[in-house]
Amino acid sequence: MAEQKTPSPAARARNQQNVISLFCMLAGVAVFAWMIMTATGLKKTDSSVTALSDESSSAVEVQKSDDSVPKDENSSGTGEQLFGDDSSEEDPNKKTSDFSDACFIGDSRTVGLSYNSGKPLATFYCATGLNVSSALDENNIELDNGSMGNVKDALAQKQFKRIYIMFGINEVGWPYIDSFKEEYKELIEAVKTAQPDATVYVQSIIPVTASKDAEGMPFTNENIATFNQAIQEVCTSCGVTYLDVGAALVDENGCLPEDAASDGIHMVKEYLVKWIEFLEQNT
Amino acid sequence: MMLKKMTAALLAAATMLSVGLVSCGDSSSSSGSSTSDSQSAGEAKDVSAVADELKNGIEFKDSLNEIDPAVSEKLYKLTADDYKSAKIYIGSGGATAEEIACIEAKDADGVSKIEDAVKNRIEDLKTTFKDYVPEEMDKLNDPVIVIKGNSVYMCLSNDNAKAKEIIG
Repeated sequence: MAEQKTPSPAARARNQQNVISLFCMLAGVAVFAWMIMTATGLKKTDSSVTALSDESSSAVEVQKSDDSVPKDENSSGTGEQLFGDDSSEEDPNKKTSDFSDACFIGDSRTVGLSYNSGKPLATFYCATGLNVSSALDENNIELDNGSMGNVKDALAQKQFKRIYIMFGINEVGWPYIDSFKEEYKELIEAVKTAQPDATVYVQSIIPVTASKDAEGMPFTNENIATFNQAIQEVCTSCGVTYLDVGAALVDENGCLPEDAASDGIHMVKEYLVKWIEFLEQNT
Repeated sequence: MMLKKMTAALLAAATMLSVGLVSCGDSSSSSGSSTSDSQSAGEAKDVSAVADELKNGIEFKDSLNEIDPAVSEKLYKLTADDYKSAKIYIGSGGATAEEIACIEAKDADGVSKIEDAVKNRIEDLKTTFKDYVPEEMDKLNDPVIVIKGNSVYMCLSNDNAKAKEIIG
């Protein structure tokens, strides 16, 4: 009996090897299962989360950002165009606040808004150096298919509920204000024709800082006020809404605060956010 | 005796399991840990940390802000599938061409696409600034672009020496 209860050294060794093999296999299976889970689920989340370091954006925006990226990668050029995704069936209030139904048309100031407003679902047809004339005459905007087109070409791609236009800072040096008015009117009419159901808002030219104003023409706030008067007249003539955005951004002297723009013209994020907040509250 | 050996075997298996789980957990929650695991010492630094260091360590004329991934993907013509992590700081849109882009590719094969994207972005900026603010062309004609491991680091500033020092 005693001999039957005590296994031989060889049998004991085999038992031990079997036990160790069993646990190693279990450990290997567990590690493999964990790696599969990580690769399929967690890693996908991680790539979005890592990219989204901006604390102001929500998880919903990250998901949509993937959808909004155009697939064509052969395009080039300077026009900035960020496509909104209006496929969501969410409540109208949220849609309003994310500007996914809105299109912004403008120059470098609008480019700055596209970078820093925290509205990645809005659409921006804008380019640094763009003006009321080149908006229609030159191909500065990247289209859905990757080619370049003018503002009219861009607007033909999709219908919006709201269009926000801002031009003028590149035109304040133009010698004839009547030319500016005519060109602006032509642009607004083209926008209305391309987007018959949209509400068109034309924004004022935002003033410059006092130090920029002190450098003299053409970037003086007095000159900007003259051009803004012309824009108001164009808006009345075209039957579109004029928005005095500048009033929400200037100090008690009617100047953009010195800390609002490093070059006196192009605003830092804080003021770009104030700008978009003004639009949220007033349109 | 046999019980002791079985306990030892159990402990060894549990240790293996723990090590496996911990290393997998790290790679999914922290790009930095993953990078140090897959790269040899002294190679690619965490792109987010380097971008922050560049922003804080260099004197920029413009006010740089981190941009939303949707915006950066559009500007760099990349999709979320093209990179593992990225941090991009950009200015006010027209004052300067100053910009920081630190992008980690998903693997070694993806690095050249990121590099091309960065170079194309610089070409776009050249087109924008050559007539608008010509003095910015100095930065654009002499950009800092460093590739380390799977990461591409770009800095457009007036202090290339400092940028290279930070990127390492």
